[in-house]
Amino acid sequence: MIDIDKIRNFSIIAHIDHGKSTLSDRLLEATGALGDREKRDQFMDKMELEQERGVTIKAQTARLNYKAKDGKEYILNLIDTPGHVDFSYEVSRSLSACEGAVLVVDASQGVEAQTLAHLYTAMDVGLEIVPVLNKIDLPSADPERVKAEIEDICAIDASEAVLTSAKQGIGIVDVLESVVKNVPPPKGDRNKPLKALTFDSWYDPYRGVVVQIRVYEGYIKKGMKIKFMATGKEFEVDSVGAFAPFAKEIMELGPGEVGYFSASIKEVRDTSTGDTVTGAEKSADKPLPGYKSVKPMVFSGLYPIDSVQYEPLKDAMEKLRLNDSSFTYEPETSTALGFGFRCGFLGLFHMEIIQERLEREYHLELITTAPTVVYKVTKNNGDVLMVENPSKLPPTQMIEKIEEPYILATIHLPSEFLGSIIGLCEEKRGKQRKIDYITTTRVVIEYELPLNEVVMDFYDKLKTLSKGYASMDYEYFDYEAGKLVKLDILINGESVDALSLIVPKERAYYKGREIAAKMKKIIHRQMFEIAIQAAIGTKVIARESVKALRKNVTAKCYGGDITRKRKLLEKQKEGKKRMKQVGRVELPQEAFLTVLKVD
Amino acid sequence: MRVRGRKVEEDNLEARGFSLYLHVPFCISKCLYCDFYSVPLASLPEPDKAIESYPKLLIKEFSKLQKSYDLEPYGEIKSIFFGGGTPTLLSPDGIEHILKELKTMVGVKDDIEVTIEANPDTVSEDKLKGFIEAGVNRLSMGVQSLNEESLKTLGRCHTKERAVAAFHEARAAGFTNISIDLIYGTPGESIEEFRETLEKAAKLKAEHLSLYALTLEEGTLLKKKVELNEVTMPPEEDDLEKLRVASTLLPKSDLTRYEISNFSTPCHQCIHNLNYWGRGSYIGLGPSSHSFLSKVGSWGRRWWNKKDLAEYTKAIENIEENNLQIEGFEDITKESAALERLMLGLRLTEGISIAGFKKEFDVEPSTVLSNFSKLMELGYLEVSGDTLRLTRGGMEFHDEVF
Repeated sequence: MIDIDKIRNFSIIAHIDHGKSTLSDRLLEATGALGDREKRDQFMDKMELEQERGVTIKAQTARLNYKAKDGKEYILNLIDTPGHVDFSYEVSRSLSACEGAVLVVDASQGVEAQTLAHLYTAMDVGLEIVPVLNKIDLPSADPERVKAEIEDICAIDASEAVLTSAKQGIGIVDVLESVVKNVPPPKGDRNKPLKALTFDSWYDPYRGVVVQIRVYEGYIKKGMKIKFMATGKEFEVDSVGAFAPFAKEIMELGPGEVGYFSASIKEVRDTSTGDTVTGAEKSADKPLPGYKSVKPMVFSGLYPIDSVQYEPLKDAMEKLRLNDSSFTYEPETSTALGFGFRCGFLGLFHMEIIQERLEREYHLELITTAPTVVYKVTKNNGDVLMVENPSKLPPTQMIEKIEEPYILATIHLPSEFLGSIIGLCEEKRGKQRKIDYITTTRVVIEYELPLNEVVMDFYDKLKTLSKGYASMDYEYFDYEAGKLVKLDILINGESVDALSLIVPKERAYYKGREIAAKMKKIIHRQMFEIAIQAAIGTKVIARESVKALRKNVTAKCYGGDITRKRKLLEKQKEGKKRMKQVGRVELPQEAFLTVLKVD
Repeated sequence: MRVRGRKVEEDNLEARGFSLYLHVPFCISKCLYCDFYSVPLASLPEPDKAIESYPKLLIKEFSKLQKSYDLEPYGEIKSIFFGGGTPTLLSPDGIEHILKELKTMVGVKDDIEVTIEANPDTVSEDKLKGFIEAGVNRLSMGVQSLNEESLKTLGRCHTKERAVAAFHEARAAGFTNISIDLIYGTPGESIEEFRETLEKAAKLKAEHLSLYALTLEEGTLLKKKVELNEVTMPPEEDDLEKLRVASTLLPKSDLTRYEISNFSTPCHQCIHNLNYWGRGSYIGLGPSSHSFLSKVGSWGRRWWNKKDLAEYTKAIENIEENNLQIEGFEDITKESAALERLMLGLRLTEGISIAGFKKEFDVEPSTVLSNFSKLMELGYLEVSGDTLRLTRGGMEFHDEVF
């Protein structure tokens, strides 16, 4: 049994690139959790995708055994949090399993908008904050200025902030000591009925669903019967363990502890993140406060390229949803793409991640349609529709008004980029709310922006225009009416539903022309001329054509080398399978993303 | 399969005999467009010796193959083809040696087609007579163009006059079955210039004519020149127009199209190439050559030799100890075999037998072709009776069928 006073549960809050993953790795090494053999840079970013993109997507945990300077052995549970603006929800989930948070701020760049958003969440759930200034080895580091900034913006005492360079391994032990000293131990009674919060779960082909929990009261051990309070489903626990950082079975998890259990749970639906686990026989009377459910903001169609992958896609999405409840899906049909799903995401980045995970981890080949937001459409007869697929928009003459969702964006940036960022916000139909100079060189601006503009490429542009220094956080704001029209794309006279999109009227002509021109480049020449048109209602506003292919023949099969030629044709056949037929025309996969790539 | 003017039984072609391809990897200089494996003589330390000893290597390789594969089920040799490179760089004695040895090893009937490819610069009436005496009965002359500029652009070492003269020398030597190769679509070639080439070629009254559109192959100097914008490929429209000119002009000289790139007078189709298009078996000897035996495994095996003369020579010289060093092989699957059957068969104006295909593969040809219905609608593919074939327009879209 573990002494609850020796447990510390904490998260790390940081902006992307401020060194959170490196710091996590150093903490693991310093406590011997990661031997040289297992050492791999940025261990905490387990998923292949995360390593590639350099951001944390899913929360991960690690149990660290640490002998502190007071001579006592502590168990430090590090619960890693995602760093991208799309994943605020995951952050709040991870944070509520902790008593403290290490706030990592880049000693030269200072506080960023996202860090702030996560910090406020942490303070909301009452966590103790341990400030850390990282990258102090950089020549541009200015700890005193950044300390002042933290105190100024975050309203926390930064005088005792730990100075580190995770990269150089400086100050790592100081962080551990500060966690032991400042983060309060959890509270809980082992003799009470089990009460544990599920904060993550995933499907394991050998063990069924693996549920990650934080125990508040009681304990959980192998052989015990447990119950999920929301679903009422009961299971017998067949293993209990902790990540140290690799999964390791242990006897039990007591109050204040963080770990996982499996219970031969086959159905993904039987568990839900934020649910409370209790004993089947000795039950808690009421569940822990759960999480607020987050609503997806961006929708797009996901279609298997090969229709036989429809069922596997459905299964894969069900499994993904298990540990990402912010992702939603519903079956839909497209005349161009066949059977697929309309999926909801937190943002564009979230969408890309899900798509890539489906393709890589489940070996599916998908077509993604252009992302869209949910429009509120009021019909002439007073009916109100929520439209999340442009092709479902009623005919113009039946529409009274179309409203689109707005967000309130908070952007932190060095003042030198103010002009270009304001330009960007104006271009994206933004309405300025305020400009604040936090210091002489740092500005916070607030803009009301149509979400539709933000989901496309706003974030990328913001980063480009500010050389990576601007950061943004946003919250859903309101619906506002706009002059919006549906833009249809016609291929040889046939409207392609999966290519329709809703655009501001004054931009429709430009967009129509741009899309038609881009499509012309993407569609390969075929045995006949292909007409590409952009239209609003029945009015054609742009037209391009792809000239007919005049010939495609190999002069001869060289000296009996049939293999080479046949392999080329086999490859071509494979390529054609990935094409979508619209009438006689073959459309490549990218065509469906073209609409996304037009400003 | 039935080819106009030549009655062939409907049965599987491969059931009756196999072909032999002998690759002669020497040339005087590398033509700019050529990606066949060949070595310019000047680059060899002892070119004369290499040429002299080469026939023996081919025979040695064949005898090794005879030991590795049971050729009995394939029957007799039905055609022999000396290709290259420039096989006319070998002496008539060398060719004679090869044919004689083959006769003792496997039995070669006197009346089978024996072709040698010739470069106009490497032949004389005497030498050509020597080839006939050695047993060659068909000559494939690499004329390519009868326009001086085009010949230069292609990097051919002969003049147009030399090409015409070589043709007459072949006739005088006694060749009664001559094919000429022409290339169209050379950078800078106008439609008018091509028409002249074609008219001059037609006047020669060859029995067979191969007409290839110039293809830019990876790694060739011509491709590099095009990429560097030193020369420009003519527009596709010109190619089509040239082909139209050819298909009107050539029949007037009794040359009928029987395959995408091949025209012949009655009874003079190339047996050797028909064997390729009919998925027949063949054995290729020499570096870079390809082989196919239809009865290995369920659907046949293809293999190919390395493109390296030095390695080849070494391997064959030590053949008793070493196994043949092939570059690769593949055992054909049913799906691939079906695709091959169509890809090769649809090159012929005769097309393929639908019933024959179904009998062989248990599926309709349309299930293998990804653009079947589209090509039918467009009139590029047609079914008449039991025959599936590309129409004249469809021939230009052969690669689109799959």
